[in-house]
Amino acid sequence: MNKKQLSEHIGNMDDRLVQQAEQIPFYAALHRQKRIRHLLTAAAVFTLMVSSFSIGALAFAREIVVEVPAAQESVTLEDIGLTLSLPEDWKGCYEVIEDTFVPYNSPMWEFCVKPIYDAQTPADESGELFYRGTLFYLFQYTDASMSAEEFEQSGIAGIGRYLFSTEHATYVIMYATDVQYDPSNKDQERLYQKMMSEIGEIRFTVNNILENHTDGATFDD
Amino acid sequence: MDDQKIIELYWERKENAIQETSQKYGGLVTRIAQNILSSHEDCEECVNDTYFAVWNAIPDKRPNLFSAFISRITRNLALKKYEDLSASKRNPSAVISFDELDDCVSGTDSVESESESRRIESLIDNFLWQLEKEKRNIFIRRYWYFDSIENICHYTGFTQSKVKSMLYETRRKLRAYLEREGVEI
Repeated sequence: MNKKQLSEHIGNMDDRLVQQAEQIPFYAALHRQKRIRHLLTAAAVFTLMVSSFSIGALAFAREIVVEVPAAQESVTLEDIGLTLSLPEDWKGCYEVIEDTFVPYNSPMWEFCVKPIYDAQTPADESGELFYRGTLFYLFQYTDASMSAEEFEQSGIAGIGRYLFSTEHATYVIMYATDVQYDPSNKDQERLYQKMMSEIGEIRFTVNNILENHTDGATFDD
Repeated sequence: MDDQKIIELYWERKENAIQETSQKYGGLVTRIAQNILSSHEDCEECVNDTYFAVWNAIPDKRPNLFSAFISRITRNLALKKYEDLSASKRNPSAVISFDELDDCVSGTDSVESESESRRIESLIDNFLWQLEKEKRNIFIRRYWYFDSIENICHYTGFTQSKVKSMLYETRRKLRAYLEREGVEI
């Protein structure tokens, strides 16, 4: 079969399919509304939960010490007092870009593969988009301290993956879903896949936790 | 005016049937023609040919879904013209849309019997009905209406990379589905 024949077959599809696609909704707004609804529901639940669990959380506070080798590559996100200890061979290979997580209007950090980001290879004909080499985004929900189970049951679970929480915040990681490197560039592909496979080696340290809060961080593997 | 009333006008051979059709569906058919042809004159001619073809097709037919019926006529006429035109008069977006379909087929000319064609079309319908509505509509906008990626992004609010990746995934699945059903692609 050739593409012309296939196009003719597609052209003869069911009238109902054709009519259904005549007016397509603004899906992005629908997705946003759905997310906001989930977030609002979750927020209401968390308000109740935080007030009822805070006493228990204080009583069972514990401190977890994460050892960070002195020579290890690390990056500190000052705004949220979080340090990431990265695999040693990431040195010079990554870029951290600060952005805003729109639903919460809170800071968000994008970790990219630097050689891919710097190459700015266009990802479409218009040249407006380029392959960013995004490995993951990291962001913090303030005023919502959740356990992994609570997070999974919340509407937020669809947006990102639970990392850990402190008394006052929950930290979330979100992975890129689209292709992030030029598929025709084997070097980019190799480097990206290698760094993706090493994400599990990243260790997180919450800075000054004993000075600012009475609670420790709870980590989820 | 209600579609059934417009169809009645055609059955009664009243010339304002075309005016009513143009008023209600002029924008839709012009957009389909423009998606396939780049020249304004060719589009205008195609739209006029559409009204003429509808005038000739009704009576005899009483379409249930008039918008799909008239859209299909426009699409077929525009594609016929597309075949006859030089590359410069073809809408580049339609050319790319055609090329993207290469992912689903081997590219070799094959002779299909009428029954085999019907079977393939029925399989494509089944495949599309089984898809998520969002992906299905985006696929149809791209390969039936020949909308450009930019326009699909404008309608849906999605990014270009998201639309492209959805289309790529759907093309890949369609190919696998047709192969699984024993279609010689």
